[in-house]
Amino acid sequence: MSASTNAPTPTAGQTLPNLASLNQSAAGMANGPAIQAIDLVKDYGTGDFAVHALRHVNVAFERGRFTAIMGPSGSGKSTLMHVLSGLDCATSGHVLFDGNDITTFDDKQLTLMRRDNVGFIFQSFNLLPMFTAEQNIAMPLTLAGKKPDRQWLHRLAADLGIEDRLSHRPAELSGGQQQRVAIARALITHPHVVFADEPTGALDSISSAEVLGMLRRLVDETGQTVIMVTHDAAAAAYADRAIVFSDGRIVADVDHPTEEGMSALVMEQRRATAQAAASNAAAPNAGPAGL
Amino acid sequence: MWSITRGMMKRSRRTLVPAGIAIAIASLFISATLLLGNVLDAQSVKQFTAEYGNAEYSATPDYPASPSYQSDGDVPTLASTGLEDIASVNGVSDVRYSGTEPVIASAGAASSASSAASSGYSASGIEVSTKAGIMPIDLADGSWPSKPGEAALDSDLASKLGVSVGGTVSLVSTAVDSAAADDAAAVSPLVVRVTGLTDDPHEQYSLAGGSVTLAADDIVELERQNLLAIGTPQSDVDSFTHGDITASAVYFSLDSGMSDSQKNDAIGQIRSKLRSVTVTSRTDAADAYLRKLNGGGVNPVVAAILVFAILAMFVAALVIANTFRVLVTQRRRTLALLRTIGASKGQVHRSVLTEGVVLGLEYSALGTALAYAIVAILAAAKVQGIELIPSASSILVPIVFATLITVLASSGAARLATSVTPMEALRPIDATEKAGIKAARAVVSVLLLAGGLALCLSAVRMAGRISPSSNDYATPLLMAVPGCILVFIGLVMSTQAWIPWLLSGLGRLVSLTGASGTIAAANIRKNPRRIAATSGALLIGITLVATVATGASCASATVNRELDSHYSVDASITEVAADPAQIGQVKALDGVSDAQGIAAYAVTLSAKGTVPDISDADDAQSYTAMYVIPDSAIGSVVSDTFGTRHLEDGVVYVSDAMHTTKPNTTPDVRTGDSLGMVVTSTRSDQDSLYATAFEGGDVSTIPQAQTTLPVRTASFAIGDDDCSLAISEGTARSLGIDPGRHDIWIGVDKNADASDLIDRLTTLTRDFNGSNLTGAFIFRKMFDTVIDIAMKAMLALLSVAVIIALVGVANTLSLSVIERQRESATLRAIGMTSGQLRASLAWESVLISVGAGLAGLVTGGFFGWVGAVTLLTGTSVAFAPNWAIYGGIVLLSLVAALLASVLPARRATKVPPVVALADAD
Repeated sequence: MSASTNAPTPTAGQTLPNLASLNQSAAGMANGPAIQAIDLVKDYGTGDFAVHALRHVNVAFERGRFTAIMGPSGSGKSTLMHVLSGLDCATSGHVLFDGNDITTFDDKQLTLMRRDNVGFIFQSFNLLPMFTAEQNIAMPLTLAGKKPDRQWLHRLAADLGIEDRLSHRPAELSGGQQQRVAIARALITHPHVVFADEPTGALDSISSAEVLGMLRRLVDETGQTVIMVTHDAAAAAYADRAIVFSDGRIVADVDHPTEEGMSALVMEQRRATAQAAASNAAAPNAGPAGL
Repeated sequence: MWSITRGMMKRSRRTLVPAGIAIAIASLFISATLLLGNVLDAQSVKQFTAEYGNAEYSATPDYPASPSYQSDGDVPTLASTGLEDIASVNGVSDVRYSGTEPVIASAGAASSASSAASSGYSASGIEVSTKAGIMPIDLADGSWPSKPGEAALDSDLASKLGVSVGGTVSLVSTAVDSAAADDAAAVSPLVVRVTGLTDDPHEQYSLAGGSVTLAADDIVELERQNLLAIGTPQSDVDSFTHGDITASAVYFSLDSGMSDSQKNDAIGQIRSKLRSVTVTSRTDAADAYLRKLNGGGVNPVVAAILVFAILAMFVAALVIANTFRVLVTQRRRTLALLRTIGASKGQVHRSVLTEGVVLGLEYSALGTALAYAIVAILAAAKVQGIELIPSASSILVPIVFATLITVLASSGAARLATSVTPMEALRPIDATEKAGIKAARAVVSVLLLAGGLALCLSAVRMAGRISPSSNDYATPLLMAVPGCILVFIGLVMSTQAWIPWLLSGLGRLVSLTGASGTIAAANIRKNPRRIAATSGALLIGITLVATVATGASCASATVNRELDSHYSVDASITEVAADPAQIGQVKALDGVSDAQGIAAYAVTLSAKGTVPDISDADDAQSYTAMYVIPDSAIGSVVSDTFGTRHLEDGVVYVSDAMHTTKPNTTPDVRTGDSLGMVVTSTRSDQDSLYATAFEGGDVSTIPQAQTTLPVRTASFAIGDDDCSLAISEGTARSLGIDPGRHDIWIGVDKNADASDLIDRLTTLTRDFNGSNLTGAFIFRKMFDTVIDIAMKAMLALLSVAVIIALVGVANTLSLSVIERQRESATLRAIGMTSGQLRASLAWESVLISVGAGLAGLVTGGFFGWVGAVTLLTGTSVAFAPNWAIYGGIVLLSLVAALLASVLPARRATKVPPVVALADAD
């Protein structure tokens, strides 16, 4: 897996942790997409006030790639992630997760699937305040009733630069450190896919860069599949592929995205939406604008 | 601000429901208790004024100052009551005096007084009022007697006699029954015709057998019969008149058409005619009686129950305080916003207090209304004489009290609300509570604990040294009660310090069960203050329950042990033939665990301790029984209190109570001394050597043996005197004569139905021609029942407080769930199943409840034991933990905890993880 040419180089003085030691099995390479959405529809509410968050979305995410899902607020990008990861259920359509159709799963099956195969990184970190960093990292395994592989845990912690913070509570950690604990938690089960929902939204620019860099390295050196939802073009630039959402639909699918390119795309999208809104106001029966 | 408060209240309506329920329950309790008090008072008054009948006034002479007082020794007579004078006053419509004549009534016309007396029933003769209008009993059928020879009979008495209106009844004074033969012969029975039947709704004469209402002359006649029967000379009998009848008060009523001033005039006349007479109206008498009864305050029964009601209110206050605290904590953002846009601290403070007032008013009104509804339903269903007697106090007291308590309880939260800074609107501070308690509070608690414990322990020590007859017997209890209260207050004040520690210890155990337990234990650690408050409320209720239960079981065990030493045999049929078939019959009875035939000798002892000399008139002697007890009897039909299961041969066992019971006629012997006795072979008391000698019979015809035996004293008592002696079968054989008396000793099952068994044993005793059935087990059963009923009553009253506390647990849990939505969602996202989430909530609830339960059991057990020891001074009290109730408490806490977690768990798992994770997008 070649490193993406769009990954920003580390600024002087920053030492980024070495992730090469985290060598995941290369079996994740072949055998179809990591996760695939087929004709996905998600509606909230019914009748006139229904919100169509996802309108017949079809998309496949390859293994071992870093994919960004972009779009303005309310575009449906977060909804897509929720449905893909089994946090929410679809109104219709299918989600094939490593070949299994998870739209047929009940709550318990979804939970178990998430526990073993999915890692989550949230915008607001979502660590449990009454547990130490180490306990937080091991939480998915604790829930499964398994003891964590101590070596693996410490390796993760070391490579994420938080080994000396393991006995601290979240209240005693900085934002960046908390997010790194969250990343470790996401990785402790060797998950099939890592979902990151606006991972840098609550971080300052330096911590943001660190976290994004780590995600990048994760993909490059261990073949981890990462799907990141973001509205930040700069963050999207770290990815191998960027999908742009608008109004419940995919309106752009870009390989090797750049910051400027994605920025321009999003602005254009906004302009098109505003125009459509204006013309809709003038002539309500005009068809939907956009691609 | 009021509209904003209203808005906030509307939103928090649901969260405050459990707290409201707590208030409602406590108010219901108070209101119902006060209503009950009204009923009790009304019943007492009705009972007291029943004697008035329909009369409105009573006139009582002021003994002995009244100048018209013509007494016959100390007995007031009718003439002294001034009945004639009162009757002569203008406006007095009807007069009656209080006085009864004990009679024996028999059906039909009796031939002689003695035959009337032996075949009749006891009754109470009363005189009809002058106009037959103000009788204290009701006329059910027929008419009142209008002249001598007529009588109105109580309906029940009439049916017992088998007569009805128009029938004939013979009356004799009760004295005839016990009169000497020739005195009784001088009496001729009074024959009357039954003109009416009466009812006695207030049961004034039911104890005496029922009333017989007669004309004045007949009452005089019965009095004369009484005098004749006791041997009074005929001349005195003839001079007995109506005015000589024993009477204590006069009841009268005034004409119905009189105005108030006319009434006052009439009463004034009466007062002037009879100096030193107190005229009281019925209503005044009732009020005065009520005041005296309740000591100027509340009915003592009501006061006792109110104590429990106040306790329940106190527990409710804890729940409310906790709820408001949590509410304010959750509302921090809103409060901060209000402060930012201009609300002052005072306004915020008042807003919380207002919410408290409204909540208190609402739910206490609800509780009071419910109390009225319940009493109304019970009254309509005619349960046990309950009436709905509304009163201002039963409405105002619960509402005002509950509202005040609610406001007080919410004041802590109100103060917390003022500490919210406007800054928090912009950047919310995750309010984490810290464990631990303020230094001042800690110091006070420790002092209280130490002081209280010292009081309790010294009270216990004192109780052991005091005998129950000394004047100080109440002192240990008076020391122990405040001691326990101090300890309790100290514990409750310091819950913040030790409950989190206790629960985290238990939490560690729970963590071992898996992820759910770990999460639950961690959540408990997160909010130590709130959890301690919740647990504390439950602790109060459970401690009290454990105290009552332990106290009762210690008392019961001690009483039983004392009974055992005073009644070594459960039951025995005395002086029967030695017949194995009879023993078999007894053994076959339900409830009998064993029955054995026990032989006994009659023994004469001398106060000197040597062999008594029957002919020596100066030798103080006593008679007692000496039982031959085989090994098989010890433990099965007689208590194992001899110190051995095999009585030694050649030795006599003496009850250690013998000398104390008969100090003048028995020697004071101890183990190692020797006791001389004359042993005879007789069946009963009457044949004993001693009795025979007393009656002047020939003692040499009775088989006897003289012996002196070494003594062993033991704690046993057989028969109704505590002077028992016991020997082994071997010793009996060595005496050389056969025992003449045989008893059947019976061991009774603990759970036997006492009244049933007594009936059957009584029948057998009659059948076997036995002399006596003595049954110690009746006493045991009686004590146990009394203690049991008292305990159950108190537990029932305490259960209200416990229920409120459990509502508090459910409340805290559901509030915490709301707070933890984000965390729960995270856990669900990373793989916690809803089953695991529900389990963690259940564990949390269980930890809080069982933690409080265990602490309460230990504390309550201690208090109960201290209470029992200091109550039963002078006796060594057995510590008998009531494992059944303890187990019940723990089980109940467990079940209640699980139930309490159901609704919060449902709320927690209903929301899909994604909704709670959603950030402001």
